[in-house]
Amino acid sequence: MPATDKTYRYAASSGVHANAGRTRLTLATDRGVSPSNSGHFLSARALYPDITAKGLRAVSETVAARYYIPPGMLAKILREADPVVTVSPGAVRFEGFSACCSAYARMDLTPDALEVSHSRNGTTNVDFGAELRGALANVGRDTDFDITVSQDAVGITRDDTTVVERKVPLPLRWIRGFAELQVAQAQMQPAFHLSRIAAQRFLRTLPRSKDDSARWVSVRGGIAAVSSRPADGAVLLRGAHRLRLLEAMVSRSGGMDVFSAEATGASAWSLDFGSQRFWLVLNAEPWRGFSGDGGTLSAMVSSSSDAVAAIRAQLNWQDRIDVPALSSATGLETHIVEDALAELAARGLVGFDLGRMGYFHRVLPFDLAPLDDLNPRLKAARDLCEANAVTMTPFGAEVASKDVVHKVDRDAQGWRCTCPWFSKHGRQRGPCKHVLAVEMQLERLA
Amino acid sequence: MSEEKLISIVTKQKARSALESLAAIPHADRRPHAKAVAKLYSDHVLFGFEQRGDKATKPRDRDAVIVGLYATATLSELKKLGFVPMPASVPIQDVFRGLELDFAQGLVDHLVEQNPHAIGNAAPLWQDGLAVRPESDGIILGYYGIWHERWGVDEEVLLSKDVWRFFEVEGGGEFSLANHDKFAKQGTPTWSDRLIGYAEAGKLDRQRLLDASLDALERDFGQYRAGWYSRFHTALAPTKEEIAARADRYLGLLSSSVPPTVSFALKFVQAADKSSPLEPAKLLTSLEPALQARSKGSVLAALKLVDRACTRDQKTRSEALKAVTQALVSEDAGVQKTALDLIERLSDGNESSVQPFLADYADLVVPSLRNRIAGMAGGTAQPGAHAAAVPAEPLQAVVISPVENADEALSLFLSVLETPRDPFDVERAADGISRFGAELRGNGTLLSPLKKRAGQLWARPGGVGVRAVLALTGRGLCEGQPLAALAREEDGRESASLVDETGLQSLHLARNGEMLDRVLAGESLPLLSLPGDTSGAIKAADLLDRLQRYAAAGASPGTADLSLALMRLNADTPGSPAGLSMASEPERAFAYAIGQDVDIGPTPELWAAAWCARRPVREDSRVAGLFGKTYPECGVPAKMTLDVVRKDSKCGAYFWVDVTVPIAPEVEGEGGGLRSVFSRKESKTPIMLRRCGNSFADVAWASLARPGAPDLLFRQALLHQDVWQKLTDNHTRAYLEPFFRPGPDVGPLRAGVLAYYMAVEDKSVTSLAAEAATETLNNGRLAIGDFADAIKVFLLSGALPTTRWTRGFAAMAEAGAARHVRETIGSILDFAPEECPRDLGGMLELYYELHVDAGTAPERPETLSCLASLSGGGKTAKFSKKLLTLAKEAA
Repeated sequence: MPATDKTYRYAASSGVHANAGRTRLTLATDRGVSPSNSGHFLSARALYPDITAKGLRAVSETVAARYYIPPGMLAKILREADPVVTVSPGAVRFEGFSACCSAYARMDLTPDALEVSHSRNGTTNVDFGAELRGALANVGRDTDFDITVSQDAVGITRDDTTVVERKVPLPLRWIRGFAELQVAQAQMQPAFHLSRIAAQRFLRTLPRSKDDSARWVSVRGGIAAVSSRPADGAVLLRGAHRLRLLEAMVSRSGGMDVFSAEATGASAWSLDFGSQRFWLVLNAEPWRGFSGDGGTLSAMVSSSSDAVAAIRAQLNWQDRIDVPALSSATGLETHIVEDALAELAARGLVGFDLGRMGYFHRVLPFDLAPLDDLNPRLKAARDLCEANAVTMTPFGAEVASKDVVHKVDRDAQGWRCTCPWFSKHGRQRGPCKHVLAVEMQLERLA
Repeated sequence: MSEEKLISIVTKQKARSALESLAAIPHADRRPHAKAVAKLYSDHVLFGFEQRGDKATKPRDRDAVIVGLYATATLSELKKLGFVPMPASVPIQDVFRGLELDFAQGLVDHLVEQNPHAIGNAAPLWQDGLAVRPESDGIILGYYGIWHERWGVDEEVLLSKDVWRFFEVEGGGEFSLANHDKFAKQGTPTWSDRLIGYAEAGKLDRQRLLDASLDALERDFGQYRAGWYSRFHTALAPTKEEIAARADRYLGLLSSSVPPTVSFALKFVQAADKSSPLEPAKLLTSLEPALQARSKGSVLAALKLVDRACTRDQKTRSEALKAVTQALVSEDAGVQKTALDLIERLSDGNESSVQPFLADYADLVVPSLRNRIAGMAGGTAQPGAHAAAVPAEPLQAVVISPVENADEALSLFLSVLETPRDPFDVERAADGISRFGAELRGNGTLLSPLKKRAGQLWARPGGVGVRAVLALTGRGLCEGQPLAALAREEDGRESASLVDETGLQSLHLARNGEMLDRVLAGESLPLLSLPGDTSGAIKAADLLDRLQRYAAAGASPGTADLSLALMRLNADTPGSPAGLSMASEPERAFAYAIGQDVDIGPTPELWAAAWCARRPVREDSRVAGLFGKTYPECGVPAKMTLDVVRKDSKCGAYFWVDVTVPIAPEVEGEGGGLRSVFSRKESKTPIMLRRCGNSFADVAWASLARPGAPDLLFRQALLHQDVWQKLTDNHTRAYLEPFFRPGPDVGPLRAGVLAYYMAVEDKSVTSLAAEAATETLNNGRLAIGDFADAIKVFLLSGALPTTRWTRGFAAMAEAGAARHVRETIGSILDFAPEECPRDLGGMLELYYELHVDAGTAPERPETLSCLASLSGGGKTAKFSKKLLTLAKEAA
């Protein structure tokens, strides 16, 4: 598995310190991301401490989770990555992506959830391990709970010495999945809402242990109905044990909103706490990474780098990126702005908020530059084009790949191909390399 | 130094002597012979039990070979062996010193990290000063393994620092304290006993042990491994004072995500509260998670604590009432009742403050409490709202549309080659090739992807017979070769065995082979056996039309294709042989199938298939006689009965369910079960009796073999099920697919499948079976009596837990089959008192609640008599009495 070594450098360990009835969560930030003297992102008091603590704990649990272990692979191959925090004027967001690349969690804290004494816009990794998770369990409703996100969070930095350093091999599919998941969310639509108690009941029916069987969840009479067979409007839920995370939090929520993308089978499960929201996004199957969904590939083939640059120049930690406003500011058509945003999402430069149905600005603290060239399908498609393997025909194209010629043509739903990838996945996981090659060829000809 | 001489040293000398000899040879001279020694090690030491190699090179002392390995190999080469060997008769430190090896630290690091069992072997290296002991988690995992038992431990190091890391290092699947103590050999002290012993001897700080075990429980350890720390803490038997001093920590553990940890914490909170009452407000806040726990015991204990807190401090009543309402989320009627009792008591009849909260739960509590909660919430209950039946909608058969052109045919074929789970698509794909294959064959470029992929999948069909058949069909089409020829070439491969003659895929292969022969001859004709609609059946008129097209084209129908078509024939649909000459056997077979009197023979399969379609079902000795011996469903109707018994192990400690379906006429050689006949090669297994396969796709395809009379399929479903097996993609689910298609009524044997599948271990199967039962009961295809009888057969055998059907019934009631569930349970309740199954209480509780919900009562005399016979205590007696009271009140 191709991987890149990410070294987390923390000036100190994060910690939870309880003193005289106050609990202070100090989250150390990654010095590799936030250079010295500018690493103080946030000082705030949580107004709903138990919810905030549970949400942060759940994000950390997701990061530590591996819901699927490929046969023959040891869990320790992938060590625990760290969550990402984004501080922006409209929200503080803690994000995490599971080690198996199948689940994503995000806790959004709006200004109403925090009494902020200091904040600075930015995105960084925060040191958030198992010890912290245990300590957060004791944060109650009446606890005074302060959160500090800072490089010198616990104030024990000595002479610029890095106290904590962890090297974590992050597979490229993990980083790419983390980024591409934002695009997957953009394709989702609201499916149904469950009241707090209905959601609680539903979560209690889910298996505690690993269960990869497919279920379809719908709502009947306000109650979640779970079926083993697909039905119109029902949301696919495979690997239901991944939702267990929500059980500890649901009782304080106002209910659960569910979103799904029919094309990919991915779903998002959100608990609404008023001023805070917890998101858990699951891909269709626990063993399937978001990186392979290829939702942005066609856009990447057809998008213009000028448009991407123009949109990027407009990003300024917006909490919700207004597409029409960007369109008028840049003079680009709406669909071009949307394609450019999708590409920026795949590059980790924007995230997607299903609650507001829009992108927000944040910069994933990973080096995503190598990913552009390493997308296997995109790279293979480029190779095919460069090898002049694409021959346009009146009805589509023929793409020569080694000793096989694949026919690529259009039907009512879009492009189709005779390759095994298309035969197996259809249009569920983005275009195959042959379709991409044809799209590239058409771009060239245009 | 020649290789021969070095090999001679390690094969002829004892280990110590070999070490001395090798030590005298410079490393540079030893090193070139690493491969030879490694081979010697591999042949005679690692796999020595296999007695390989010639006797001349057989080593005198295996340890000498291992010393030879160290003398010649690098650390990296040793690691590649997978398991790094150590000589038993020569201390490893002597080997390193004698041979002047410089990788002691590397070896120690490797062994500690990779194999904690081997730490004992490596320990002498750091004890002797050749390396430094690593401080990684692996060292602690070593304690969880067995090395310390073999080699002993440095007690000073253990007690001064290592033991405290026991509470930080969780371990994993193999190495954990929980595993060590659970599987400790008799006579071997557990770590729990040892640590307690050290504490009692004053060697370990008891207070620190108590705190450290709670620290561990606060960490995110898995449930199984966390269990050791709670058991250890309990085994330390904290005193009242010690418990009181840690009360806050126990309160914190109430929010643990590990249910047994919550139960553990509750016990200590109860003890702490008893000895030194806890601050009520704090207690109430901490109890919230426990009040919503899944475990009934935890919630009841938490409710007791709430009660005590309120008794002590009246001011907390309002908060306590809100907290108690949260317990109503429990599915357990007992918990709900206790919570409502407490709310009533705490509110002193004035529930106004909790009314809004109670209203949220009004529809979610069990029916018998709905009136009560509605009254408390200031409203009225909606009778039966929860169990509204889903209107019965008969399943409508949807016409199967054949593919329309060559492109679509190729595209669909490529698609089913990858994912052959939908049998209708598989059949459409074969029909597509049958009609457009000749056209496709003219375009080699277009077929090139199929040629490559079919070749790949034939080589590796992934255990799926359908895929193997399709792959071979694809190859035949692309290569212009008849399937018979290709199959012969490939006989003996895994893919070939998937389509052996005892399985139904052999019929599939034969049918596709006939189809391909026509395609290779340039003919474009429809498949005779393509199902007409989603019931899987073919109308007689449609089959006649297809036969006429064959006749018009001068083509003769293939035996396998026509046999399959006749097995799928819906003979209830009107049909006549008009237009057929009746000269050929296929035409006569069709005529026979639709009820005409014709001459029989000579092809047995064809006539057996025609006999299957013919109505009414009657024995026909002429068809039976074609086979030489009597087979069920080959001219003679099969009679099958479901037989379920509980089998006990000789020691009586284990039991299991034994399901058999004796068939008459008996299948010669079948013995005790159908599986035995399928385990041997038999070229003449009639198609009716061929096995369905072992993958979802194979069973799904087999489920379309005889859609009108699928009892033999369901016989296999009963014999094929492994009650304990849990799979991500359980292939036996495919046996349930026919229940979701339009089809014949569900007879007793099929009801047996539903009953059995509802009670297996795999929840993906049980939930699907419950849905199938709901579907077939709602649309009237399954009779309550048949369903109840089938469940009773399993239930009264005592081989499977009653709770599994109770859960299934509850799911069915939720899904809108409450009335049917009520009637089914009522019919099941017809047995002698001594036959009463264990754990019947839960089912009776559900039965009672369903009656209360619907405003009905048991009426059937047999049911009432059975209920009256259930005496004694417990839930069974409690609800039988309640049900009888309900019946009396109704009367």
